[in-house]
Amino acid sequence: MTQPYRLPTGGRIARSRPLRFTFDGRSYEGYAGDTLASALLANGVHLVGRSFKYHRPRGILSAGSEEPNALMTIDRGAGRVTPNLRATQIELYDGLCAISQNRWPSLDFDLGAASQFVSRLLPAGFYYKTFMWPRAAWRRVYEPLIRRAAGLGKAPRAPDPDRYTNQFAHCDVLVIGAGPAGLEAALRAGRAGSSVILCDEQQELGGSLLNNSQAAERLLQYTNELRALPNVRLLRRTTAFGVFAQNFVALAERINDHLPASNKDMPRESLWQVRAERTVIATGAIERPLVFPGNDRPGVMLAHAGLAYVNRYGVLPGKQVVIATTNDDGYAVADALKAAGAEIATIVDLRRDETIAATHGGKRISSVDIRLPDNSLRRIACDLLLMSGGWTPSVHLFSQARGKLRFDVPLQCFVPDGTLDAIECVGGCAGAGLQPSPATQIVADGKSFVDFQNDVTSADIELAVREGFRSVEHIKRYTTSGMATDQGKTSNMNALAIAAATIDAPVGSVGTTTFRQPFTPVTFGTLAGLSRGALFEPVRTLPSHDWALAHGAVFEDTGQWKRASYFSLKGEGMRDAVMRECRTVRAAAGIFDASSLGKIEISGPDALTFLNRIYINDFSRLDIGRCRYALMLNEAGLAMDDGIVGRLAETRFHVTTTSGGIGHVLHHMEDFLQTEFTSLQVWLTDVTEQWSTFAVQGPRARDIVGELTTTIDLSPGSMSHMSLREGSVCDADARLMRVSFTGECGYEINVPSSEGARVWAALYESASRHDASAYGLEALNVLRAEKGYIIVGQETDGSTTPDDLGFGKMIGARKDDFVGKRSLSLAHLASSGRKQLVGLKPLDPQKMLEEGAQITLQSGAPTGSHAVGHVTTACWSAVLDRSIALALVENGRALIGSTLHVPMPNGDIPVEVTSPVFVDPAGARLHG
Amino acid sequence: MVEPVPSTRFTLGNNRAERVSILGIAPGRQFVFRGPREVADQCGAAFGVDLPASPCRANRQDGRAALRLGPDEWLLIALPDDAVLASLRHSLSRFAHALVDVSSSDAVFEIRGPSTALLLNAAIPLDLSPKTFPVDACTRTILAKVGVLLWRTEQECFRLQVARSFAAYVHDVLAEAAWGLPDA
Repeated sequence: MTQPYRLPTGGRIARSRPLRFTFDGRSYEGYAGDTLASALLANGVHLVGRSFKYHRPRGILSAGSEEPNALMTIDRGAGRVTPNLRATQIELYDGLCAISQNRWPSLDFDLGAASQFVSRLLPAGFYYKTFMWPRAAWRRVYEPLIRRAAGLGKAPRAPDPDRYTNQFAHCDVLVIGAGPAGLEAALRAGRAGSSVILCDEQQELGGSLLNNSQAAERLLQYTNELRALPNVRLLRRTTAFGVFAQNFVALAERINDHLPASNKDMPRESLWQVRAERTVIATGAIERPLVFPGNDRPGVMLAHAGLAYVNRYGVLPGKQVVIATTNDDGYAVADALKAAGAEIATIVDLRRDETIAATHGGKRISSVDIRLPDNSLRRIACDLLLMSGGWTPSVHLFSQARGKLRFDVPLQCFVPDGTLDAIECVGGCAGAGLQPSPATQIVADGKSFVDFQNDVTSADIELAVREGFRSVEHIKRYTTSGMATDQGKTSNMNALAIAAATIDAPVGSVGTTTFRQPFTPVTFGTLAGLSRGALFEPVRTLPSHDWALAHGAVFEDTGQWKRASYFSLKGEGMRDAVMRECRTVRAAAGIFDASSLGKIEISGPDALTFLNRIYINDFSRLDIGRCRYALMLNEAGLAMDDGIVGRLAETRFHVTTTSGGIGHVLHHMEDFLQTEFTSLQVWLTDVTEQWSTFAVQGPRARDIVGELTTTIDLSPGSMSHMSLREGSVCDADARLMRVSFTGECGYEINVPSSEGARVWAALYESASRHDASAYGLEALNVLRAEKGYIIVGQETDGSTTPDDLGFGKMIGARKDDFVGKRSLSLAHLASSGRKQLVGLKPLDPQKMLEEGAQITLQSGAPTGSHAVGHVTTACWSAVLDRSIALALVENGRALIGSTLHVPMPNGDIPVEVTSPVFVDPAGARLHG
Repeated sequence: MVEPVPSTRFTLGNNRAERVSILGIAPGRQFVFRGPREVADQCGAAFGVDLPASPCRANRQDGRAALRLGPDEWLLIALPDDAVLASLRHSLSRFAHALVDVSSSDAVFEIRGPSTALLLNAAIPLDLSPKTFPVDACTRTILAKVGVLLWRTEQECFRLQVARSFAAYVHDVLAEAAWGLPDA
């Protein structure tokens, strides 16, 4: 017969919808509305897992999210294997496949269980004591062994194929928990017209009402009215797992894990990030287990879990029941079970000086020994032991919100002490309506478990106190009590009470450990939300991107930009392609998409004054239609960014920055305008994406650009190096600059980005007619290195001054001030011995240097010798057909002509120090 | 003009098409005006739309709009064939200000339908309820990992601008969010 423990009637399950599922390969039947736990119990399965440390057989303790024992791996197919799920929260669906954990070879026969017989060797903190020597063995022997022996489910190996989403939400009132208190709070707010979000971790609204067969009608009324209110959003299967500053609450909604695995047309989970005017915490209370020897045997269950299985799921978890309680609630549970047909063998009321001395049974409880007030023992047969040690309010979220707690003596637990500004606790989590419970009787002999999930016994906590730990935070860390994935929901109060009793101090003065998010574990997928795969990071593409794709481009990432590294023609390798591109530029011309360059339009009557203060250069004599290479320092006098400043009009400038620099340069400028130069009338506009920028470089650049414009006179007499014109290129409004980053005659065409792709295509056509081609970043790097042009961030490293770079003469000597000026006169920036930019030529021209390599004065310098410099750029020069490099070397300019050494693993590379300009030092090509 | 945005109507799964649509539209002519309040008034007179005094609000008239985005910063939007720039430059030539053509900077999406705010809130942290973000509210904010400009043009319609190199990312984020859109 299937489901032998299913009651013939009652419960909220749908008996018309039977579902098949497997547990450790065996097939069972349950009903829609069951949890995995209730369905297993209906089939008489109590042994569901092995414990973390001692591999003891464990059953189902609870009926909710506090469950420490019944952890399962759920297999929903490749990449959808989730370990450590609580069987008490897993909703049954047809075909569900559950696997028990932490057992080998099988749940019934587990070799690891032998560890409980050597448990005296594994006391609290054993890993701090036992495995200390030899030191090296910890990482390679002890830790892997412990990790294999202890532990929970296995992390999945396949990539997660599911999708996750995210939702920001605002509301007047967020109600967390849909038990009676939460439902009423939500209804009150909803009726008053407030926007309300009501979330609850369970599949059904109702909380404790779900366990009360008399409350079904009341619950239906509540939920019907709430559903009818358009201003109320109901979020079921949604756990509020963290409360953050300013009433910001994170909710994890489980959207499709309760559906058969084939249903994939929806996200798996959603992260709700809620900002509420007011938060009502109605998370209820968790029943406390009793601490007695053998309290972890399968068949030992929280009293109200037993009630839930009977009333909500129509399952009789045992037929012969012993109830152990410290409060009147135990009797109500006894009534309910009796009414459902169970035999109540006895009620052990700890207030009458009775207690449980031991439990017996292998994989399920078979009897208990009761110690009577006269100290005699009485053995009673049973198949279920229900226990109630009172209630612990779920103050986790209130405490996360920095709410203060106080110890309530009648309830023997911590309750909220007052309310926070916009956060209040109602119902059980505020301590309201809970049965008073005297201090729990602790029986320490034998294995009396406090923290079931981390296998911490009362003896472990006593030992920690005996060894000198007094702070509850230290006791927690030493014993690991409360540090498992259940975060001690059932164990913390008992652990505190035992620690307090051992210290002989009131629990209130011992205090409580902190409550941390997440309330229950949250998947990484939920936290990542939309930001996975292709959406992990924005990909920015240039106007020429599609063209480049079609022309063999190999891309590299520079920040978020995809930029062409080189264009591989007919299967060329990188080196061949780069060398070809370099030669083509110097022989004919090349075109390069430089649109990622930052661009800022600077306007206003004081724009010139502003630029003079921001850059080291003096722009006072920069005529309209001219531009200039410009260097910007930070306040410490160190190179920060460079670019071109072009004068469009008396009070308007077009300024470029490095590709990665636009953000902080704009910030730097705006910062100075708003805080230091407040009297200046200057405005900045980021036009980075307004303009597409294409460089045309090479001896035939003028011919190429000339084919595209009729409005701009390109003749050298009219438009010399470093000039700027506005006009049209390919019938698009254009800003044309004659600038060069290659040492060749060159132009940068700026056209509105909406025309970028079209102009690039036209430019390529024109270039092709002049034997020119496109070139990528790698070729650009070679071409500019041959000319000794720096790249900020490559030749500079945050400690580089203008003079280090050979830009001393660029500093506007007549300027009163500019950002960084004063710092440049500080001794450490002005003294001799600073690293200066030079060129290096390996004496063996075939020998390539490595960027970042150190440089020494002597050959064969031993490790630890002073490095006089380092290589900043190393490349193969196509035009010189040899290896070259740029470097920063102490007093480098004075060393030109001498030989230095670059120590490498395979021996020194001797190098000649040269000028950083390897090609066309007179600049004839540049000005041609 | 070549548009950076897929300008076909985006199809959403799960019968969600009726709830929200995402459409790439022409940005039109756009100018950043920056300057003191007095000059902003001059600019408004020449533009035919008062430059709003309230922060994060838009004024609209006859196909033109002015959005206040900063203490001294407005975005002026006109129709694609509007040749207003020349006359603005002329009217403002005597005053200290900045007027910069940014017509090509951004890609523009129009997102429309009863669930628009819900969709945007998948990636935008702001409160987009009509109470706090009414029609003609506008602001710079973030969408997932990029900065955007958001303007509510109708109760159920938002105009979303983003620097054009981010357009594909924004589109894909919205598409993914639309696929997983919660019930209204």
